[in-house]
Amino acid sequence: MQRSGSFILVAQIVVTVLVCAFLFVPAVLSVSAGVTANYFQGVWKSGVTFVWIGEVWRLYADTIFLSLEVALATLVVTLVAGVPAAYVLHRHPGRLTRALEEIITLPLAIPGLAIALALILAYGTYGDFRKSSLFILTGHVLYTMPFMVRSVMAVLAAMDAVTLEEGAASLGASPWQRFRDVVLPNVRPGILAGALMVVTLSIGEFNLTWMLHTPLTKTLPVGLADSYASMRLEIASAYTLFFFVMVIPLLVLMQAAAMFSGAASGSAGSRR
Amino acid sequence: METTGARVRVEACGKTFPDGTHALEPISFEIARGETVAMLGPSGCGKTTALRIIAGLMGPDAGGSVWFDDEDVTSLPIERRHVGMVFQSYALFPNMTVEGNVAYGLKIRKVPKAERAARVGEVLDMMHIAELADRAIDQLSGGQRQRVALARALAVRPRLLLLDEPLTALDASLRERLRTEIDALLRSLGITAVYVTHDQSEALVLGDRVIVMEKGRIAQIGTARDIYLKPQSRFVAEFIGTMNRIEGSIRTGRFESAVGGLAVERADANSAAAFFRPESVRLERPESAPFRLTVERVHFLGASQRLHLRGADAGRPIIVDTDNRASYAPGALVGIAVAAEDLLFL
Repeated sequence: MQRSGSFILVAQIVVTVLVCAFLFVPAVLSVSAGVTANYFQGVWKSGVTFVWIGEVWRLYADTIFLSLEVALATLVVTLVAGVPAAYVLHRHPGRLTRALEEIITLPLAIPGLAIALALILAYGTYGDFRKSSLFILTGHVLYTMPFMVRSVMAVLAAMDAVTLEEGAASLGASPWQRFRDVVLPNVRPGILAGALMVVTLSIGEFNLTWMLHTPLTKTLPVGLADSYASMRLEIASAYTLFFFVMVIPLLVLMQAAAMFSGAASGSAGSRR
Repeated sequence: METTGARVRVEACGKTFPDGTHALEPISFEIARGETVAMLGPSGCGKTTALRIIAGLMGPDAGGSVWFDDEDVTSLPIERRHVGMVFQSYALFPNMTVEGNVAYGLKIRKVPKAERAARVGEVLDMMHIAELADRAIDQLSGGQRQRVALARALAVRPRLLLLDEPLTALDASLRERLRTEIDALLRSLGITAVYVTHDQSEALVLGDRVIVMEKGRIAQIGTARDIYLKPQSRFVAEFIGTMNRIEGSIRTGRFESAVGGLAVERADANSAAAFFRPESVRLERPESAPFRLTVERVHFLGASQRLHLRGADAGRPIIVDTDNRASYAPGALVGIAVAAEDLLFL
């Protein structure tokens, strides 16, 4: 009995390790290629170098900065517009607000290319707008807004914001005081989760951005595609390294935030 | 701790929701200064709607008005009515400690810090939760939350305390203990209070007067004694406590039914029903009793026993509470009599 139990355990570990290896090897190869002097000779023969990383910085630093700028701007817009929108949608449930929620969520179901095409058809003729990074920002806001709105709405529903506000109102708090003292502090986990999602999605967004960009407004993923197509494999791989360094901390934070808000909503559940 | 209660007048307050449902037909009643009124009824009877209109969480339909003493508060939102409210789900703020919750209303009113601390301490002491002051809300049990919710509502010294099914979420034994405590509290504070519940024992114990509601209307207003002993409609009679009913008719001064009859001083009616409580039944020998029924089941409860009797029809059994002396066998025929003053025809 015990022997077959330990056999199953060993088998589980072996399978898990193999599957992990299958998934990790490409990422490891890609990262190691970025610091290999000559990928075709291999890292052992040609040695480790940071030349390619320097080269990427020289060629593509502006795309990295543009990606960060666009991501932060997207975050600001989704915060300023999305949080109040989620609040209003939650406070006034009805046919109209449900329709609005659907419309906000729609970009998730439509291919990014189609959204980009629609934006180009509608606003492509406004030259200054078309050429600026604001055009990309518009696409990113459309695409990431549902993530902010939905994650804030989920927390509002879990905490029963309407009743909490009525509680504050019964104690004399004005609508603004209620929002500031009760709604905002309790909805923070939702805002945090939404914010991390928005920034991560914006930094990695390719479909939309590839259609919307101009030679002067390239973001990191667009630059990556460009380097894959026209540069040495080592440069493209070093470029990927930059992307990892930017995105992995965000993903880790997102996990932590999800665990935190999971714990918070878990305790909200036990309250009923 | 002195609180000043207001006199409350509700005038022709109805409520129609946007989808056209009449949650509340226009109702009117008054609550005296310091009085506790319990609003009792099944779910959907309009009691919570009425409470929300008094609180200011909801406006009445045009034509309705709410008065606190001589002030028309109809158009004031809840935050300007100076009331205290205890919610069914407590609505405690999870981002604040117990002390923070209780102090919040005073902070909003800009009560100076020292006085605020003193008043919060006073209310926490009164509710026996002083040791919980620094706890987070999610570390509290249901009963503790209930106490915090009451403390928070009372800390601002409201002129009216509104309680919306405050004990519903708690288990039975805790509910009974808190019911007794709330009763003592309301009496010692002398505060005007409206207590909404679907639990008749809560309503009967806590209400100086009880408003029984049915389908958006007031079915009856009266003391617990009135409501129980002199119900004015079939609904009230059967909603409160256990009530027996024998259907029949009244002809030439006699009530007749399938299980017997007796002389009554009432006008003739083709269909009438006699109502009486289990405890007002006298068991007699079948030959001489007005009603004759068969024993169906006997529940011996120690101090008393409860009999389920059945007549010819298949309807609800007649329930009789009697002392523990005689023993009754299922299937036996028994006679029952009810004193004229305990017999109601509705």
